[in-house]
Amino acid sequence: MITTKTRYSQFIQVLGIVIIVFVCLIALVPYLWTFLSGFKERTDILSTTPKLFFTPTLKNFPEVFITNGFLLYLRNSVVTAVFAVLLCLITGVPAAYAFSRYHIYGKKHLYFYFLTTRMCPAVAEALPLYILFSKFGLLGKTPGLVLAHCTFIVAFVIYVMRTFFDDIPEELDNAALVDGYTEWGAFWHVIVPIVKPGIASTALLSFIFSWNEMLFSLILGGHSAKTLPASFSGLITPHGTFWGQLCAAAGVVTVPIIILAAILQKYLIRGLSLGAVKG
Amino acid sequence: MRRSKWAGWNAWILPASILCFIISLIPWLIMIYNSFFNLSYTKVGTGQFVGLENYRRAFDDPSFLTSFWITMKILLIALPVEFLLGLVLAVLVSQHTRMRKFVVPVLTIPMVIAPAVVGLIWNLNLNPNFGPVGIFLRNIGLSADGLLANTSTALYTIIAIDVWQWTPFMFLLFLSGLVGQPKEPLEAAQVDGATSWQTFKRVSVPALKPIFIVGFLLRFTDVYKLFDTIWTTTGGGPGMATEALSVFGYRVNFGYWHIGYGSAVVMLIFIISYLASLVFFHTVVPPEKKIN
Repeated sequence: MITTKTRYSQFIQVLGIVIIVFVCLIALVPYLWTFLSGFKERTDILSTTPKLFFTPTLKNFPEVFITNGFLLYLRNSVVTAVFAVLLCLITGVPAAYAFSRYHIYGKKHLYFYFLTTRMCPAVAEALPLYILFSKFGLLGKTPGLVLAHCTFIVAFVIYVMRTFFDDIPEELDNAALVDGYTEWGAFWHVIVPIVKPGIASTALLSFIFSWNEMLFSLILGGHSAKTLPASFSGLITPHGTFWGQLCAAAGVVTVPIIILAAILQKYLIRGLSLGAVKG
Repeated sequence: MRRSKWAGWNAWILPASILCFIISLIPWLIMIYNSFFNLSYTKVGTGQFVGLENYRRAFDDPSFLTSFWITMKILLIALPVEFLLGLVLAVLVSQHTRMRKFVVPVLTIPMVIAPAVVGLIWNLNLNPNFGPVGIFLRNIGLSADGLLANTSTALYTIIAIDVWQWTPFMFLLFLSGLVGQPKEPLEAAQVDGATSWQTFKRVSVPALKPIFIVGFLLRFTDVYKLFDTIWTTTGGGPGMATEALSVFGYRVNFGYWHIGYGSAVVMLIFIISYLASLVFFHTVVPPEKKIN
């Protein structure tokens, strides 16, 4: 009786492991296949028997980034993300602190308003921004795209940072005030050093959001300001799809993000749930 | 909670508010204004005030209604599947604690990479001529011209791609809920002689309810605005088979340049996401701390 029971539970145990490994393979293999295709010759990619072993080549990378000018889009991606994150941190972190600490007239409505900017479909932000930007000459310019990316990052920073500030007992602020700090001094010299890890992870996750964003870049980026995710379609031409170059570019877009996500692992759920689940 | 020094809004909140008013509130007002005009960037002599005509037209437009149903279909299928698979996986992994270290980073890959790349990945893998999955499906006689090129399978393929990409998110949410659960109720249930299934159903699942609500609302708003993966796999086609709301909104405005009608369409799309934010705000967002 006991042996059958342990055998049964052993079987369940092994079955569980098999299922988990199988799911991991499903998640990983399609991506790996695409990643590896960036190192393949055209004939290896288009081979009708999928080739797992091939002679790797690096020629797709100079082809896509230099010959096809993707270096510009890569630069745009980096510049847009960095400036959008900076602008959102500078404005968003103090706001989050105030939402955590102060009574403000109309606070609830304002807080809700920020949420709607995060939840609203990108097309509903991009359409009016397109009209506004066309009047101010911001279409196809990186500063315009930076502002557009702020529409969804500011709210994210405010919501997540507020939960970090909420975790700090208010006695700490009060002690700092008693010690003679100004309100701003207490925030800057006492509270900010404590939430530094929170700010850093919020910044990195905001970077990921901006880096991965496509619709704004497609609509507002024009040719000269568009970022990498919006530029893939340029390699799908009537003369054929440049798969090698596409996959090479995809590798460059994804590898830094996968590394960042691994660093942020502990914090990912808190960030993606807008601070609602502490993870 | 300290009182603001200023009676009104204080300087802490001002920069973020000004930024958001400029880049999002003012544009929204412009969009509402435009939605009352017969405005087109491609036709001459447009721009007359038409009142609510654009909104009425949307409800008569079969393309709009179709795209609405397409989005509803994606929501109705993708969400339950993602929840169920995520929950099962989280329960499995929570029982094999040693595997967590390597399972979690692997499963985060689909959800953190750019959705545009996710589209590219499946375009490549599902290609019937040289994609591994596509060749496999063709060889077992399922889909000769590729799942994404076929009107009857394209939408389900988009749904499957969303499941592939976002089940890991539900998995991580549920896993954090299961792992962070206090042990005492579980032990108490076992002492009382509950089977492991009863413990799971009566203790673990109810404890996951808040996480369930967060996950539902976040997935709802994200699937509702699904654009990138559709755009980079099918572009809304074949025909209109995968033209979800966001894709339709994009096409009316930036394909046909019917800005007036397009604004009304986008406003209608926006209203539902607004309602979703309202629910999110009142159920999930932590209330103000009750101090002082």
